[in-house]
Amino acid sequence: MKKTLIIILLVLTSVSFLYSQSKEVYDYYMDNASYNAVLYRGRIKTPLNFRYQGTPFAYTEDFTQGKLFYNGKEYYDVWLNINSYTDELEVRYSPDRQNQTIVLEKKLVKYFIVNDKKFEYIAGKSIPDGFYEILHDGKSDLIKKNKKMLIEEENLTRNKIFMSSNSYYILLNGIYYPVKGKSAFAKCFKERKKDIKRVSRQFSSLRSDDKDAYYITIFTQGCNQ
Amino acid sequence: MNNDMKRIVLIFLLSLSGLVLTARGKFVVERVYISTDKDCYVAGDYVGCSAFCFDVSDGARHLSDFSSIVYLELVSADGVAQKEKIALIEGRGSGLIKLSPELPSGNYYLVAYTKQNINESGFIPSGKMLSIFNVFSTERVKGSAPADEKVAPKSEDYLPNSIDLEVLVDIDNSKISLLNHTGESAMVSVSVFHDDSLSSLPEYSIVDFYNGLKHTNFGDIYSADRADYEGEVIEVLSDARGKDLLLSFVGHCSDLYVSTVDSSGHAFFYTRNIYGENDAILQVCAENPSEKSRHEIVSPFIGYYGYSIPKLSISEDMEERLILRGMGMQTVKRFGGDTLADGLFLRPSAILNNPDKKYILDDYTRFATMTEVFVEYIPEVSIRKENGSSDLSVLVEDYMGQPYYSHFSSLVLIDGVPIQNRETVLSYDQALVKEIDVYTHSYLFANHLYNGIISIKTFKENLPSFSLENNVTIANFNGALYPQSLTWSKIKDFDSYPDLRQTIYWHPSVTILPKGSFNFEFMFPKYEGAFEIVVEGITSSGEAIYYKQHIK
Repeated sequence: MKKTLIIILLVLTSVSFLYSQSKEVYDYYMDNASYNAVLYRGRIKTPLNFRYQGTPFAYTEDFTQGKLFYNGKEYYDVWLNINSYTDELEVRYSPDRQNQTIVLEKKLVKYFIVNDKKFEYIAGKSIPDGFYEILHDGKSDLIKKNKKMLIEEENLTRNKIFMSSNSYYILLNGIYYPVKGKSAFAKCFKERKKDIKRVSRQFSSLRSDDKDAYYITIFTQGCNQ
Repeated sequence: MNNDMKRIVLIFLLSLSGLVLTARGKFVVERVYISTDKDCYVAGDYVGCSAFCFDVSDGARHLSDFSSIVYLELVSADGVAQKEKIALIEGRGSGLIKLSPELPSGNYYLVAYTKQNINESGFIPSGKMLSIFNVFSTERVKGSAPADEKVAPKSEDYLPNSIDLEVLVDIDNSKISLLNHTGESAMVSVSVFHDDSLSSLPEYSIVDFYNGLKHTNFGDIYSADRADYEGEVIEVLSDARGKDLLLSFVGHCSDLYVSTVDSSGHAFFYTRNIYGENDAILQVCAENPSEKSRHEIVSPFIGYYGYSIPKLSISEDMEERLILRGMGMQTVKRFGGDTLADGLFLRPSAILNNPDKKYILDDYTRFATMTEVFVEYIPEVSIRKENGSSDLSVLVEDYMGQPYYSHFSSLVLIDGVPIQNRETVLSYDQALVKEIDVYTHSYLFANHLYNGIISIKTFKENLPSFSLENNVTIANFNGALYPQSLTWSKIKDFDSYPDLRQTIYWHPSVTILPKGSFNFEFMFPKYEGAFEIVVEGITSSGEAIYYKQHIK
């Protein structure tokens, strides 16, 4: 009996805290507005009309629901995807509206969160303007820029392939430092050289398997950020 | 039941009641405070307004990021005299209300509310009392009569100044510094004005507003219908049931909206904030543009005026001060003083800001007709004949930037108004046209897809000499007031300006960083008198800031 009551209590309490009032009202508004919402007016992206391998998007062709802060307003559960070939954020009213993909004005995007990954539009700094994934947001930041390039194979098939490349940067005291290897961390955080070396060695297997995780681990554990 | 069990049951019940409360207040409850540059005006003056919209639904007081429009009504015992709107960005907004020169003398109540309030049961708007004198007319608001006796000046005893804010006045150099002693940002309005003691209204500040909140019973919100989340939701009544309506605004090339008229004759347009006084154009998306239909914009204002408003007392000893006020108001108008207001931040348009191609017609040989203009130097547009009538097509770019013609029609705008009959575009007087912008991408407006946009802008930006079709309704639409400050920074450049300003500095939205300062210069007018500085606002955690000081 006591256990049951405690469980009910915990469930109810957590529900009551998680219950977001503005989200509720927001949902009501968006249900009413549907595709008439201001968010869904704009330039549309025509679909690619040739066969290709890979994807122009950062991770997957599928649109996923995420949170977006756009033109001073928060939007929840928006179907969105980041196009790394054009460096544009694309949204859809619903995932099945493939021919009605809207490209948002990137300068008005403060941030968006999709699949637990946070992206921000960074402009007017020492790094190229564009969308960057925030890999770690702490005492200083570790960010990543994913770029896609379209390559045509030089053989009879002339296959078109989207090739991916990533650049990483540390934002420390307002300055962006490019990260091309573990030495970049040691350069930024000289006093933690030993820890960086130790963590790098300990997680060396990640270097080729999952570079994001490798850099995040060095940044958080080695650099203590 | 042992003590442990009792405790668990008690917490359980408390938690349950918390849930019930949360469910009751599942919609955002908002309250609006308006600070003004002063509390006494003459008819024809500008009223500087700064809006603070609070979300009070969780018992806290923080700026609401929900509503995007505040509705203002200036109410007297005679009824609602003026209606205005202020656009909000993250709970803050501002505007200059131009008082009608025909307002009768009297005390007025400036009430403010959002659409969320309209959805709240038993909600009665509240606001700030203003005294308005008409120096050209003896007309009075009901109940206002000349007083036989000298009007008692208002009490000097009011709230103590906030200790969190320090104001340093350097009279010799006409400089003022506001020092924020808190560890939080302070968002305030700042006013320096002539204190001529004309108003006998009791002081009312953000502190009184906060105190009032403690005694307010918030009603249940039974709906969140058409809340102004992204901007104003404009309701239209139309007899074109089941058809799509286009809403545009003359001179606003980025503001085109589409909505379907439902079976009850209502259409709702979800807009971003529209600013200024506009001609709104409503038209049916129809194959036959000559088909007649009627549309009407529904007023979003409550129009309630059952308030108890104290009577305005007027006495003979006010004459000199009122003459000075009247002259001040007239010189602002006569010498274009209102053009010296500084524009503040507007929520930007997300679309149609940067055309892919822009043609300034004066840069080219002026041809005789619009057809020649398109044929001779706008390669992105082609004129096609279809079923005996002309159509304009835009060569749009595909994903890889390759141009192609699509079977969807393009959108043609003249000064922001969609023109469905292309023949009228081609026969339009090209001498009136200043610029043609071409957008070589496809655009989506609700469920309407347009293959490229041709945006024709005239010199006058008001669709001159254009005969609109029968299916078009033109309606007056007062959008949000343009946010402006009256810092008069440019007045130094006008030596001959007969400076009789009453408000010598007004900034409705100053943000002072934690432990930071805000410094500004002001200029005394060309008359002697006592002045007052009032700063009011909030810290980022919602604490009230109020500071008043006499400047002599």
